[in-house]
Amino acid sequence: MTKSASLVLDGLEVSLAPASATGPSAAGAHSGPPLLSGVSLSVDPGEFVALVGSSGSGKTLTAMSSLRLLPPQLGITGGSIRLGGLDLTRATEPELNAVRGGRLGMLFQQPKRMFNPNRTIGHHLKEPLRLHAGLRGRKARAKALELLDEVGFADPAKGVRAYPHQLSGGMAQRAMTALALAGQPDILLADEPTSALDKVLERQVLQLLDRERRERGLGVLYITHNIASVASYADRVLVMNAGSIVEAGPASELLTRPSTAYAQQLLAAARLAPESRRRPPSTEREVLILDGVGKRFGPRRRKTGHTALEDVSLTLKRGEILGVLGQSGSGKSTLARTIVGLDAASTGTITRQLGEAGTGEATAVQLVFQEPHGAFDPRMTLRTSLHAPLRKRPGLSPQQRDARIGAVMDEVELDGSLLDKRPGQCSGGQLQRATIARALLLEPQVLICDEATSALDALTQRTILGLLLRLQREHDLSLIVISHDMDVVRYMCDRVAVLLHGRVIEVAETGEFFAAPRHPHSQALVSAAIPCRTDGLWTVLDVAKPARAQSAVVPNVMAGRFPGPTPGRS
Amino acid sequence: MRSRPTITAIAAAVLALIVLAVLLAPWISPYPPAEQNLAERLAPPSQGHWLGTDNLGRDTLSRVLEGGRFSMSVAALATVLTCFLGVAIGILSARRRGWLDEFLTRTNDVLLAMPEMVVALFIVAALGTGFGPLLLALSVTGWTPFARLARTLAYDVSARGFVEAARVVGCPPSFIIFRHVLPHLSAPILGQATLRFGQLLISVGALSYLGLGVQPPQSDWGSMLAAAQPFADRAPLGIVAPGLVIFTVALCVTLLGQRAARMAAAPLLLPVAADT
Repeated sequence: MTKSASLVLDGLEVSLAPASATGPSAAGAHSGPPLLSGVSLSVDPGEFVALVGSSGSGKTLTAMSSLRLLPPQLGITGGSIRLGGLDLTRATEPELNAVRGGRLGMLFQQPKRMFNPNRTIGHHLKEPLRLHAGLRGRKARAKALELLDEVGFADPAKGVRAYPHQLSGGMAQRAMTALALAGQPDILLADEPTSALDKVLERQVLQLLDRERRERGLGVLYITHNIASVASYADRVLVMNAGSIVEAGPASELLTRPSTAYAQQLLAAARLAPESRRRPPSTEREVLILDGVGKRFGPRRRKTGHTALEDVSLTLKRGEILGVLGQSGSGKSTLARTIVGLDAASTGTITRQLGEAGTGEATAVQLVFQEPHGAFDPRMTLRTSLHAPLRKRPGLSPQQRDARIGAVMDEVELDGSLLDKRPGQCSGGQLQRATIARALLLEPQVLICDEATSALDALTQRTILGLLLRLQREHDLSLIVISHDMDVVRYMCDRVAVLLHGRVIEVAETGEFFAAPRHPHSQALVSAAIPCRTDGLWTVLDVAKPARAQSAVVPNVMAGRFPGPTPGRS
Repeated sequence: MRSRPTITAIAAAVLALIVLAVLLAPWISPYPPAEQNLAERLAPPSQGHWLGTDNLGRDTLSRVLEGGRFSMSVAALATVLTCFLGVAIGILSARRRGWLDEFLTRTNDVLLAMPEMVVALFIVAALGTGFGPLLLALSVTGWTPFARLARTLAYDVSARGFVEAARVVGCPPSFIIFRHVLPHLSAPILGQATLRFGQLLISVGALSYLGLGVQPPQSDWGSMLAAAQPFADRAPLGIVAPGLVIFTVALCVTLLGQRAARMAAAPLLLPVAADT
């Protein structure tokens, strides 16, 4: 391999304009403010540089301009992008094609969407190997196997033959990484490569990138929202706001002593204050008792089915907040669906003891969905959607229904004018509030939040969690908070239950659980969650260096499904 | 895409004109459609006969107008009938699932495997010709594409978050079907129905052409084509006129259907707000 090159952006400016055939001299001739202005950054080989900023600050745009893959209506109107000796702003299309996926690799946010669903992973890998490494046939196949092994496929031969839909999210991102590494890049642009993954997988992918950095001197430009991961992996941090870089510096310095107001705000939003006002539930009365609940999918008599839940026994007290933790696929959502009655349990019993206020028992347990945009019919106005649950209530005149809807809208702090809009016109945060409002209409006693905030950005997430806590207090609700986000669970919950392969492996008080998880899987979950938000960044920085110095061993929490990177390889 | 509304308007106007003319046939026809005038056999277009005459000296224009009634009403009725039947079966399949779904879907497969025309020929041969048997013949297999489409879409919609949300808040199945599922089906079903109408119009023509539709002296577009074929070299309008009308009506209905389908989908195309 030839000498590695650095990526250097110098005063990059991107505006709404046709591509700059005339170069920087054409700048200023366009109307409207530039989308990026004066973006200067450099990524050297072997360096892990993080680029952080809120949505819409221009992070992805920076990465895409570096590859010269801007949408046609945008153009580079100033500055330069250099990769080694090559000026990418002036490079010809063939020169660019040689660089893209070659010396300059890219990882995308949603790996599964970036694969052609009709082609195997091996087929995808062949292309960069042929174009950038000149490998064909048997040699290309051998190299593909090697790459998949390197990124942590337990069975590379199977991985080569796999189609994208057969891979889990984490495996798909590894395959994507293999694809990026196939071109032997000097610099890798990683655009939120882990935001679609759960904490354990996120850590695995980041450790993989970090290992590539150490072993072959890969330079990484890591674009993310996740400040915690920045603290653990990045050498340098760049903070971006409104199209320019507002602050830059070594990670340890910038994260502990941000100097600009924007960076301070960004870091503050990343931290959830521990909930101090939580008091234990007032009564010992149990509202929900699950006894040996199991759920199997698939044909009843044959053995080919899939067991999603097995022998789950849990209780929920009135006014209690129970957290349910577990990785993707551990049965968390099935549990929620079974409790509300969307799916019938195959075995076991679910007893609701709703007591005196048993108005309409079927709807006393309500669910808040993960994806707020999916939870409303796109054709209906919110008013119609909110009227629907009240239709069956006897003795409510339309005026009374409207009044009731107005009252719950006030409770979730939504403006009444929103009622006449359709879901497509509302933001995710607004819709999630509306979902909660719809649940409240029926005066539930138990509210199940299935990843209710994971589709929302950090700031919106915080306000929704605060809202849920307030409603819980005011209505003495029992909540079940299902999440793979440790911070959310620790912030909200009184007790925690951990699911693994459909079984409850541990139930403990929250404080106790996070201090000393008993089951090895719980320990893995707790340690995989980079403990940032509740403990502050400061402790994270202390643990950051040893974590990196260790080899890329991840506790084998996937339990035989796909083991983490093998420690012996380095 | 700016010309879309214009095309739609033209299609609507043409279709309205044809339908109106066909409906008003008894009053505006220049001659009784069955009136023979052997002295003027196979006449070219003239002042007296705008579209000429056929081999029995009957006025082609009058027969086109009269024939449209039968062709269009059978095709339209069959479309509506099969559409309702198919959508009902499809939704039933998707909602009930289990053995009923299996049974209906397999039945659908079997019917799809049989050539529509052959089934129709059987039924007409067994029950005789005429309006009723022809309608039945076209409907027996005609519901299958609707059922298939409705089932797939209903499955899809039923698994979406808002349907689950409706179930959780206790909405009855009727509400879910009529307020959530059906509106989501409307656009594709409408598109399918208009395509189907065009096909059926041609099928009616084909069956009549084979002599299985109306019986003389009554006319319809298909039987006119058949009757005029031997004399195509001497009076080509006898073929061109009914053929062109079939084509035009089918085209106009399809264009209008596409437009309607797009309008039915419109509420989904609103701009999306961002979280700020």
